[in-house]
Amino acid sequence: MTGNGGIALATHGLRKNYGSRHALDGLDLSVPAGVVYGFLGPNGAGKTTTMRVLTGLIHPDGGKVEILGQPFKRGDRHRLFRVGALVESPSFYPYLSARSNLRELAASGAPVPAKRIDEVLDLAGLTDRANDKVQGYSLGMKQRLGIAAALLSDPDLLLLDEPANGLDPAGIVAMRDTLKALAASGKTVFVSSHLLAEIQVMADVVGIVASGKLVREGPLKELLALQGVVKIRVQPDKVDAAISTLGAEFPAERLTESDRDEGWLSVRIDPDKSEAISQKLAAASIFVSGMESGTDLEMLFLELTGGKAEGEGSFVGLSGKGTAA
Amino acid sequence: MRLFFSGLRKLVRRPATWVTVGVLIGLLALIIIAVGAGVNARTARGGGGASAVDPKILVTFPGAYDRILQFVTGLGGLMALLYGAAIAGSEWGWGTLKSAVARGESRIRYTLISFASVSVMIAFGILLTFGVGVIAAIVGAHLANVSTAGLSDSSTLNDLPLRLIKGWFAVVEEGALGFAIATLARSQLAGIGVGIAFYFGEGFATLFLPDVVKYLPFSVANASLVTTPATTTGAGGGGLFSATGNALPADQAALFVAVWLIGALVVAAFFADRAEIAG
Repeated sequence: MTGNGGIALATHGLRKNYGSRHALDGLDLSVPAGVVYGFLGPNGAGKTTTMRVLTGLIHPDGGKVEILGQPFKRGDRHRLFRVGALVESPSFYPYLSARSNLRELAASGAPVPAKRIDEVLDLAGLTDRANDKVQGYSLGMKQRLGIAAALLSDPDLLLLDEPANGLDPAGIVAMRDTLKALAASGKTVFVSSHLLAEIQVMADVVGIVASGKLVREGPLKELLALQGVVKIRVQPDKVDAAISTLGAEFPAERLTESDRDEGWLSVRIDPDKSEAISQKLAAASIFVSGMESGTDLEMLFLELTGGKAEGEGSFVGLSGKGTAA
Repeated sequence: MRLFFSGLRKLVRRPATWVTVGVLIGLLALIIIAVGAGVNARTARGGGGASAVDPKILVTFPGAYDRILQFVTGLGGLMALLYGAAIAGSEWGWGTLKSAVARGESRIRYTLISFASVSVMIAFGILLTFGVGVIAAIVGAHLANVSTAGLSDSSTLNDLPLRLIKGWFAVVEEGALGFAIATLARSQLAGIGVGIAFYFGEGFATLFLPDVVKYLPFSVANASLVTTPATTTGAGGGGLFSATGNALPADQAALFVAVWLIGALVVAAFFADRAEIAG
């Protein structure tokens, strides 16, 4: 069951203060059901505080939380029976094996069928080491076990805090595939992360927080389309003419010089429309000798959260896809 | 019940459980057997007699039952305090309480049932230690050439179950105190440290504030185990809190044991319920 409009998780004006510091300052989230939702923000933006509130570990000073269409307040712990969570570092009894840890964890909260333990161990790739004590596990293995623990109750809503921490590349790919498959099966996956590239390839919807507030939320493709940049290289002595030609088509704020000496210009448009730029310049007898295009979550993130790097200047070498003409 | 049995399984597999009971058993067996062997050696040398307390009472039945129980409830109380603190503190330190809460488990239920498991393990520890103590006393008696005829003293044996239950109750109260302190401190080490400080602090304060201290948790636990009014130093918990003339009567002390036990658990449960869980 989800809320109105298929919303799996929502917060309304969520507030949490630590002394005079506002960790959450009216946070409004709206997480659609059946998606991977990337929850992004710089350090101290309120991501972990949000995760703690959503899992009942701390209580907000104001605002409302809805989980799977139902209000979640102090005393509504049963709502969490349909939620799986990995909050901060995975927590286990070091002297017990992975299997025993899951068995004892399953004794709390919602009842779990015994066979489910083997299923999640298999899903996490830990079957071979299931009977080893957790104290001998690497960080990555503990992380896998943490994800297995979050999946124990076959939850409708999965809350994961930095799930890729400590995972090797194969583990990251496997986790990503698992989370996408869960979302495809109708479950909702809420992933808090600072790994923007990972979120970019995994998330359907993103929410970006800064200073305890939501600064942008929406389908990733839509956000990135607005954030696209096309870089064009023309003869250096044609830069002014190119700006003049493109200025008739694009607002001035979308058009900037990147490197006049090398003849680079940047146009902030959807990269799918880069061909139009080339045609426009060719019609004015200005020929493009180089072109790069890309969309980048990192750029959007830095812009929205007040990071130092700014779009065009940091385009080359960023992790977004790029094509050279 | 699944949470309770889960708690028991966790404690049975936990090294701290066996270290705690192992230390208690090891010390008791060592002392009793050493006393038995020492008495025999002294007798052979023709020494002894100047001691205020005849060491043979440790290995002479039926009195040995009292001495063993005194040891188990005395030092065992301190061990229970440390054990309770270790169990409660680790739930916070390892983050396992966090995991259970995030699964929708009731904090109060989790806290109280965790302690119920601890109290069962304390009962097991008392029985095991007492049993080993009796065996050690029999061995010690043989080493000291003391008769074990009193081993089957029916009057003592009839009283034994009730006294073991009372002893368990007193030790559980001390365990609850450690459990509550570590819950407030959210740490094993802090819980153990503060628990030990309370234990010795109360013992030290007995010298200066006997009228106050007699109501405090370790003193009432000890006083609740006194079997007869005439016995002022022998049948209580012993150690720092040997019942003195200032101690509360056993029945009244048992009431205070219950108050401290319930109080400690209420504090632990209330704090766990209201606490903000981070880390």
